[in-house]
Amino acid sequence: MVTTIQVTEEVLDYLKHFRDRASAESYNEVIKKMIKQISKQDSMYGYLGKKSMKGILKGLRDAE
Amino acid sequence: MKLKIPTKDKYLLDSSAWLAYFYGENKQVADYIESELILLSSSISLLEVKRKLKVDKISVERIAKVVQFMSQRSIVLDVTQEISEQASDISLENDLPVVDSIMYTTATVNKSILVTGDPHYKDIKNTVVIS
Repeated sequence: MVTTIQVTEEVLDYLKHFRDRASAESYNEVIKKMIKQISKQDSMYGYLGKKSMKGILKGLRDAE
Repeated sequence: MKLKIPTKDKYLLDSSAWLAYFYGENKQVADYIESELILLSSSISLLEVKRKLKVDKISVERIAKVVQFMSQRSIVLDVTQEISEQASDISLENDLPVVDSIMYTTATVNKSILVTGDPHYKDIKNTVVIS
């Protein structure tokens, strides 16, 4: 499934530039690489130690 | 200028899924978070996670780091009027508590799959219950 987004001519020029520079096949691939770079973070898995799902759910919502 | 972008593989992580990640409870949820998938969150999750961590006596600095991570790794969605109105029906139809129905409706309105550790959702479509 695809959708359509609008970008300015200036942004399109950047996309063309990065598509050529990164040897990407499409603008979609360029944007994905950019998103990956922006959202790249060190892992925080287990950052707060250990807790069971039962402990996580306890008191999480008022009704539970 | 118009560009074509695929819009599949979106996942909305609820508070229990995020906490399962930070508390090292479930490696499955790390596969979602540490991937290239598009992730969504409800703004309510920021409230729930922050509140839960305060109750758990986690330091202010650590809480800030957790919230920052959630905000950077996912698109945080507000509870809109559309979501609120649809959630009321979904709550009654599926016997879901109010906040659960808001989470689920936020996921469905945004054409995404809900990822949760909450067994309330186990028989509800477009939901992944991590265990």
